[in-house]
Amino acid sequence: MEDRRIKVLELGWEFPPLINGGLGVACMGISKALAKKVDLAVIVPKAAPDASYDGFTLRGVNTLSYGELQTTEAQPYTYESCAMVSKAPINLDPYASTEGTPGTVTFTQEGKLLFSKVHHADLDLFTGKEDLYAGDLARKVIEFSKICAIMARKYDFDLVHAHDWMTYLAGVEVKRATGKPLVVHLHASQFDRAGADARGWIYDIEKYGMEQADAVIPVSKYTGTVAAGHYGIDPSKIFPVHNGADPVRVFHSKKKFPEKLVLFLGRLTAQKGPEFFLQIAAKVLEQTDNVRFVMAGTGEKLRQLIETGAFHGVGDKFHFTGFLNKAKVNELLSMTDVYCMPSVSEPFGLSALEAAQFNIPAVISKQSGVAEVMKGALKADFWDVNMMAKHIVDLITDDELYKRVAEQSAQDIKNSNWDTAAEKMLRVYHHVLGW
Amino acid sequence: MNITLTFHAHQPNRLIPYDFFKIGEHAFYEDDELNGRVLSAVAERCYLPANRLMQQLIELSDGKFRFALALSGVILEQAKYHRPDLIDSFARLAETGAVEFLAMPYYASLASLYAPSEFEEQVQEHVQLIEQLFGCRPTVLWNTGMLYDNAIAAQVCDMGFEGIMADGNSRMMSNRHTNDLQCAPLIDKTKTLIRNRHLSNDLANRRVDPTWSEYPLSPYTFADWLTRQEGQVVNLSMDYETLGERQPDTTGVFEFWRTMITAAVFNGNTFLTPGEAVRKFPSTGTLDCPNPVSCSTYGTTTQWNGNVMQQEAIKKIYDLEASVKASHDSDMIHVWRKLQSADHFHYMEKSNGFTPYPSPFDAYIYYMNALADLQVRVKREAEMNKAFDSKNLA
Repeated sequence: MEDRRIKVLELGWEFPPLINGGLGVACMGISKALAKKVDLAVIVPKAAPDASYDGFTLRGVNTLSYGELQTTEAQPYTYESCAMVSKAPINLDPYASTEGTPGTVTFTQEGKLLFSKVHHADLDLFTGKEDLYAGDLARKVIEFSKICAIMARKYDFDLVHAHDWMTYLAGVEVKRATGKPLVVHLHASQFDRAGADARGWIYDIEKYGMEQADAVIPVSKYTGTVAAGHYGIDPSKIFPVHNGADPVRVFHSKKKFPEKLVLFLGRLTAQKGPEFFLQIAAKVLEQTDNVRFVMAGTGEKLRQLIETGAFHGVGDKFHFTGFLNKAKVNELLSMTDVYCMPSVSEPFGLSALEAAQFNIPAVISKQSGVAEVMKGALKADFWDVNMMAKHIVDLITDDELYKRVAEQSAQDIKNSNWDTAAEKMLRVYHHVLGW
Repeated sequence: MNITLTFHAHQPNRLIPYDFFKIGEHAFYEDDELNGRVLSAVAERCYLPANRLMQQLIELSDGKFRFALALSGVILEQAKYHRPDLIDSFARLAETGAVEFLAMPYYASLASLYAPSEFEEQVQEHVQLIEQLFGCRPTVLWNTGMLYDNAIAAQVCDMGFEGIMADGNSRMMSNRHTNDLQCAPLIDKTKTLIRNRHLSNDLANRRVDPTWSEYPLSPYTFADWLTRQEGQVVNLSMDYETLGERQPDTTGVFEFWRTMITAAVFNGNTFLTPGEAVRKFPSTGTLDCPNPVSCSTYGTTTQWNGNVMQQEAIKKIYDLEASVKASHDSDMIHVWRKLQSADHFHYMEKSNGFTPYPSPFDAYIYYMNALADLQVRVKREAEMNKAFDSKNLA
C-alpha cells in the first residue's frame, strides 16, 4: 500500500448552487467529506463563477477557453464511445420517467471524432443560460465526455469517479485516455425512473458505464441488486455505500389545525408512488377523520392526482401544495406527524432521513435504499396500501408506538453522515488501486 | 304583444390563492381588492349607464316601459361595501314604480338542487334584503342560472311565490309553449314564465356576431319581431352585463336598446313586469320538466357539477350544513353560504375560459383549502360550545 493520499478526479453533472435535484446535493456532500481523506478535483459542465469550496477544486466546462482545449492536439487519441451511439433522443429529462422523442445526433467520419473536432459551438453548450438538462442533452453528454478526456490529461490523479449516467461516458473516455481506473456512482437508474422494462439510450449508457467501470458504488444494497439483476453487472465489483444527510436546523412549530398531519414530499412521477399515497390516504380516512394529508411537490402527474383525489372524495383532507422551496419544506416538516414515502423504486430516499432529523416517524416502502438504514421505520411493499394505511393509523393512534419509532429513527440517523460514506468509498478506492 | 324584460346581475366573490399553509390561520377567503376592482369597473361601464338609460326610457314612455331586475345578494353586498352609489342608482329605479325586483337565492347558489331547506332560507334572506333596500316584496323567483325543474317549481309554490322563471329549452321540457304561461304538474298557484331563448339570445349574443345572417341587426327589425310574436307574453331575459360589458359601448349597444325599446312601445306593444304578467294571464297548461334545466349553453347543470372536482366540492360544502347551522354563529353561516355560490364550481369546469385562476385545478385547490379552514373553525367552535355548555351544567 502506498503511503500517500489518493488523488481522485471526480466527474459530476450538477453541483450546488446550480442544482436541479438531489444529485447535486449528494455530490456536494460526498466531495466535502472525501476532500478530508483524498486529494480531490471535480469537473462539472457548469460551475457558478464565484463559488469556492473548502478542500477541493471545482472546474466548470463553462469556464474553459477554446485555447485550453487545443494544447493536447498533437497527441493522437480517437474518441471511442460515440461509435456506440448513432441515434439518441434529443430531449432527455433525467428526472422524468419517459425519454424524449428520438432525434438524430450526427457524427462525422464513421462515428469517430478527433480532439480537433471540439468546436466553439460545443463549448457554447455549457456557457449559455439554458438549463443543463434542457435542449439537446444527448449532445451535451457527448461533448462533456470529449472535453473531460482532454482536460483529464492535465490533471494528476489515481482514479476517476463519475456520478450517474450523464458523466459515465466521460468517465469511460477518461479511463481510455489516461489508463486510470474508473469508479462509477449509481445515484438513480433508469430502472427507478421508468420501471423494469425501460430500455433506451440512457439504459444503454448506464449499462456501458458500469460494465467499463472497475467498481460500481450504488447508494444502497437495493440499488446494487438493480445493477446486478437488471443491468447484469458482476456483483463482485458492486460496493453499496449509503448516502449521508447534512444536518439541518431542526425546529418544531404548532399546527394551525387539530388533525394529525401526514406528509408526502417529492416529484409527482410514477417512481415516487404518489397514486399509492392517495390510496393510502383514502384508506386511512375510512378509519379516522382526525388526519390531514399533504402532497408537496409538482410533476407530470399533478393534475391527474388532483382529479383522483376528488374522485376518492378526500379533497378536504388531502392538500396539494405544488412546488415548495427549502424554507417552506422545512416549515412543513416542523409540523408533520408522520412521513410517508411509498416509492415504487427509490435508490436511496434522502427525504426520509431529513424527516427523521425532525423527529418524524416514517412509513416507507421496502423498495427503497433508506429502508436499509432506517431500522425503526415502519415498512411495507409500495403496492400494499392496506399495510401502509395500517402503519399510519397505528402511528397516529398509538402514542407509545409513535414514541418508540421516533426514538429508533433518531438512533438510525446517527450513522447516516457523509464522513461514514466517504470512509467506505475510500475502501473501494484502495480495493480498485490494489494499494 | 305583451313583453317582459328581466336583467340579471351578479358578481362572484373570487378567492385569494388560498394555500395549505393558510388553513386554520387565515379566516378570510375572498380577494376583496380584486372583487371591488371588478365591481367598480363593471359599474362604470355597465350598471350605472344602463340604469340611467332604463330610467330615461321609463320617463320618456310615461311608465309604459317596465322591466325587472334579478340582483343577487352577493352583488348587492359587494356594492354596499365598495360602490354604495350603485345601490342608490338601483333605488332611484325602484322609485319609478316601473321596475320589479325578483327574488333569488341570496348567494346565487345551487341550494335548490342540493339543500332545499337551505334554498328557502337563502331566498328569504334575499327577499328581506330587497325589501330593506328597495321597499318592495318580490313575487316572482329567478333561480341561480334559471335552474328549474318540477320539484323546484313545487317548492317555490309552497314558499308562496306567484311565478318562477325558466329557460325555454325544448330538449328538456315536453308540452312547452314559450310565449304562454304554464304550470308544473300538480301546481296551480305558481305560474312558470318561460324565457324566449331565441329572441333573448339574439340580443345577448348574436347581435354582435358578424357571421349571423341578420347581422347587423336593426333595432327596428327586432322591435317588429317582438310585435309579431304570438301567445300571451314574450319573456326576454339576459345578464345585465350584456349592456356595456359583454357588448362594449363601442358596439352601439346603449343606442340600440334605446331605439329598440322606444320602437317597441311605439308599435303598441305592452311592457309588463313578470309579476304583472302572472297576475294578468291564466295558465294555459301543464309543463313537465323532470330534470333540472338552466340557461347555460347546453341547458344542463354540467358547468357546475360535470366533473369530479366540482362534484366533490359541492358535496363537501353541503355536508357542512348541519354543523355550521348548529354553531348559531351568523358570521360563520354567512361565510359558509358565500362558499356556496355557483361561480366557485363553474371555475372548476375545464372548458371555462372566464376565470380569475390559472386553471380549474387551482380553483379546486384554493376552494378545498378554504373549505378545510372552515371545517377547522366549525369543529373548534363546536368544541368551545361543548366546553361552555358542560361548564354551565356543572
